[in-house]
Amino acid sequence: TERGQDMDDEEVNVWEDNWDDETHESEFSKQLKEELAKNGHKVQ
Amino acid sequence: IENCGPLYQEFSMADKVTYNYYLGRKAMFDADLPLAEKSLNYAFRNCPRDCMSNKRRVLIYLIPVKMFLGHMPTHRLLHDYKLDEFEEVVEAVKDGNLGRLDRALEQHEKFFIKSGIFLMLEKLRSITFRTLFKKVCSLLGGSIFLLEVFLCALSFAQVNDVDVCELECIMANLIAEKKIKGYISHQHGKLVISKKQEAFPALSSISAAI
Repeated sequence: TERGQDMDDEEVNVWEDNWDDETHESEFSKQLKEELAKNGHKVQ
Repeated sequence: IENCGPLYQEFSMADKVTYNYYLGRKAMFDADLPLAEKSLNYAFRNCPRDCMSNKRRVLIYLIPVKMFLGHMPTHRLLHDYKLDEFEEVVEAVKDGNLGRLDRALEQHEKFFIKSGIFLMLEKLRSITFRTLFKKVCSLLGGSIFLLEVFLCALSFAQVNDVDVCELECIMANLIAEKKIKGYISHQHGKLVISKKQEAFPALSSISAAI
C-alpha cells in the first residue's frame, strides 16, 4: 500500500524549508559585512 | 501508462516505484520540476527502507530538484545515504556563497557528471545569487540599492566574470521568477525592492504556488 503524506516521521523531516531565515551568522556573512563596510557601503 | 486508467492501481508497488523514478528523471531533464518532484518523491517514499541503494539512487535526482524548489536536504539524510558529495553544495547554496559552490561542484565533478545531474546542480547558481543579494539587502537595510554594492559582494564571493549588464540580467531573471519582488532602475543603476511584502520570499513558498 502507498504511504500517507504524514506517516513516516523519519522521512518527512529530511527536508528543511526554513533554512533561509536562520538567524545565526555564518563566517561568510560576517566577512561579507566587513567587505561591504570596507568599500564604503553603509552597513546597518 | 498515464492513460491506463484504473488499471494503474493493479500494478505492483515495485513497478510503480520504478515507473515514477524514470518519469521523475525524465521530467527533471525536461525542466518540469513540479512533476519531477512529485514522481521522485513518490518513488523515494514508497521504496522500502531496506532497499537503501535504490532509495539512494532516487535521492541523487530528488535532492537537486528539491533544492531548486527551496527544500534543502538535512545533514542526516545526506549522511544516512552516503551522499556526502552534496554536503558542500548544500552549505554553499544556503549561504549564498558562489565561490564555495563552484569549488564544491568542481571537487565532485566526476560523481555529478556520472550521475547526470551536473547541469541541474549548476542551475542552483541562480538561487545562490538570490541568497547573496538577500544578504546584501538585509545588511544594508532600506529598499533602494546601488547595483555597485552587489558587484562588490559578487567579487567578494569570487565571482569575477559578472559585469553590471550581466548582474542586471541575473536580477531581471530572479524578478521574473518572482524570487525577488522589486524592479531594476537601469537609468539610475539601482535595485528597488518591495517594502510592503517580503522582497525575498521563501523559495519553498514560491514553488508551492506554481
